[in-house]
Amino acid sequence: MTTPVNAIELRGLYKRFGRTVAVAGIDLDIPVGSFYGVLGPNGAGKTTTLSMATGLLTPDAGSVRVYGIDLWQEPSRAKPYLGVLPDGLHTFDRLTGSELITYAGTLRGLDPDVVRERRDDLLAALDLGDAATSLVTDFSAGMAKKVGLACALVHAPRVLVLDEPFEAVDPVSGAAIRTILQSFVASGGTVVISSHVMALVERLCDRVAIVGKGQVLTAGTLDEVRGDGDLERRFVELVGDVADQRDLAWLRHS
Amino acid sequence: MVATLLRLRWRILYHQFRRDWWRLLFVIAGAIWSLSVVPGLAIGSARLAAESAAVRSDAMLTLGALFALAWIVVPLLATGVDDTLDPARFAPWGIEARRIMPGLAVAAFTTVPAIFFVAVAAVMGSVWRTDSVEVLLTGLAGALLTAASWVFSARLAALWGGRLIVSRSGRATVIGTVVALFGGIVAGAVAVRRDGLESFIDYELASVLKGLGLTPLGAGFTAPRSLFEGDTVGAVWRLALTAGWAVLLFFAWRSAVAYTLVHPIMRGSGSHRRDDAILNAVSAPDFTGKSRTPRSRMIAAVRQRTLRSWRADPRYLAQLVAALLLPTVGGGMAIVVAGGAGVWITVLPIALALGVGWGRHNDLAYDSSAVWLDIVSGVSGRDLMAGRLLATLQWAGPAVLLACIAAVGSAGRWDVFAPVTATALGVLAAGLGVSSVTAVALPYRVPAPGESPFGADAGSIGASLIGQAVSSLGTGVVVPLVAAPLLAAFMWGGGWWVLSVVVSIVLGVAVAILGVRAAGSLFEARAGKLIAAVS
Repeated sequence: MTTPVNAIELRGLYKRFGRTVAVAGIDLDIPVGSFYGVLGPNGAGKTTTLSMATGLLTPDAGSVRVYGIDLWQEPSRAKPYLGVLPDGLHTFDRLTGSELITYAGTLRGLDPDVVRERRDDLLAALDLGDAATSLVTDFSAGMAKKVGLACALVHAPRVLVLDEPFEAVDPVSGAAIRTILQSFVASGGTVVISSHVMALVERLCDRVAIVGKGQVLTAGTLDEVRGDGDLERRFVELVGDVADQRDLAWLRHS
Repeated sequence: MVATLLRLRWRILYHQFRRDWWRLLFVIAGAIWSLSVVPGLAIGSARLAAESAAVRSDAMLTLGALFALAWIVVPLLATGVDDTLDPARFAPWGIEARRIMPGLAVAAFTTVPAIFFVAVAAVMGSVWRTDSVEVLLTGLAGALLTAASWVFSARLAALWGGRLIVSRSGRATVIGTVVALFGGIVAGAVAVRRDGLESFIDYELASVLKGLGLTPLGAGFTAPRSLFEGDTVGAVWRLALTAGWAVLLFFAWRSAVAYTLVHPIMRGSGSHRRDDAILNAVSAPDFTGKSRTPRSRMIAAVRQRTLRSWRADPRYLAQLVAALLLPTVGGGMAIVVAGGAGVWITVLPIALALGVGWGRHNDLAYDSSAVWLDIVSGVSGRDLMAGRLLATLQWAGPAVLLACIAAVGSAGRWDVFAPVTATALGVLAAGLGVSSVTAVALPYRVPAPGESPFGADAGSIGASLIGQAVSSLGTGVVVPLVAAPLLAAFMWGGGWWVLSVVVSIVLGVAVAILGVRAAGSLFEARAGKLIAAVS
């Protein structure tokens, strides 16, 4: 079987919650081996799109293909390709960091010996030594994010879909995560991240999509999207600036 | 601040009713039911008013003690309690407890149950209306002050209960309380068996009531009798004791609120676990002694993870205590009333099994959005549901077995041990099988991980009632089939005894397996909708 060009293909994805249309027909191709950034203002539909792209939320319409396999038609074939880190969802908080990674690895069908080895590697690489024996409920937000990333990595997926992976993570751990992800992409893996931090996206991603009001406003290589300026300026151009830039004079003390 | 908090409460309720309009129907239904019992109360009050002072006093005391217990136990055991002004929600605003307490206190009296019970207390106090105005006023004051203590004690119990069950020592306290309660019931049962029910009512119960009348729980109801009998000092100190108790409860509640504002409950106890229990479980051989297949490892991982929740998650623990407590206390009280344990007591372990099985009808929702990990992993729904069911069986099976031993032993009927045990375990397995399906088909929102287990059901009451009704219907169809041969055996004996063992085991296991299969298929089909349904 030839390797597909795209790791993920989204076609006509649509999702509505009550009267609110969260995603209004998104088409997106994420090439194999790319470090893809999905950008958008709050409420743009990034998390909803990524949830539908990873099997966490049923789309009202449209399709998702992972390495050519229809995720919603053949989930058991498509899901092994994916490593997922959702944003803002709980996890099994009465397990320790070690146990959570072991649990994720076991559900992915890994042998206990393999799980043990990878678990220890991930705990070390993500500087989670202290978290190994603590319950997840006692974790800081950054530690929870890192152990979530470890769970996404443990089965060595082909595609990583990470929603705000650097949020609440300290700079040292952030650097370690960047190294892991860049190495993953260099070896042929694909990373999709959503983020609000433009500098981070410019530094890591080679491809970018800007999403607004549930639609893709622009997508392409980083250079194609930002043009002559920087990514932040282009982002503001596309999604629009704050409509009422009111001066909060009462907030100033002098 | 009182007006602000009341406005806030009404605004929150208004938005809740706009979003889930059927909630309003249940509030209206509750209000209509409350109004419908008013004529009955009035008739009872009129009849009681014609009785002697001693009878009136004892009746009020008994009712008052039952209400006091209900106001403590119900907020602990039932979710869905009004949480519009949950103190924890004020934490980010940096407001001191003493500023919000007057508003919280007034708001606590504006709920339907509070309004109803204050009215009931007023009716209870008015049974002294055939006497002097002083006695009537004393009766009303005593009853209303007692009602205030009910409302405050409920708020305090919910806050303390949520804290207690988080820590290991707290859990020991809860278990100790359950054991003490059970011990009290057993002591009552022994007394009934020894002296008969009439003697128990005349002496033991009378002395308990007399003692209660001297405590803050009952002094408010005995004060008018004291005044009626010319003991003014006795009436005054009883009223003072009741008022003091209400004030004490208010300040204890205020202290608990102050603590809640700066101690979020979401944290664990900071404990460490060196062993990786999941790895140990999946590495260990299966029950046949063979090394595990990948599928068996997945089931073992889910089972072990769920077992940890049963041991360490306060929300699961609260359910475990409730599941064990209700049939135990109910059975104990039945022994007291019946004057000893007969063979009918064997229904107790079956009721326990039924309660545990039915109680898991919303099992999946307790993992809240954490199920995302199961969903993205692509784990088979059957394996997932099998692991969850096995985890419950692992503690509930031995608990039901112990209940069977206790029931059969206390009835002195070891000859029915095998059929009763087989039926109870069959009912447990069948109940869990039915609940597995409803847990996936009709989940409704519950307190999220880290929230108080005694907090309100954050989801719609309509969804919870539909889930409970369907689960009750399914259990109501299946369980009689499992238990019928035992009933036939008690009635006709003979071959029914053997048949009851075989039928209950076979049916129980079959329903459990079919339930897990159906629930597993449903889980896979609904995977993309479940997180939205439970979080």
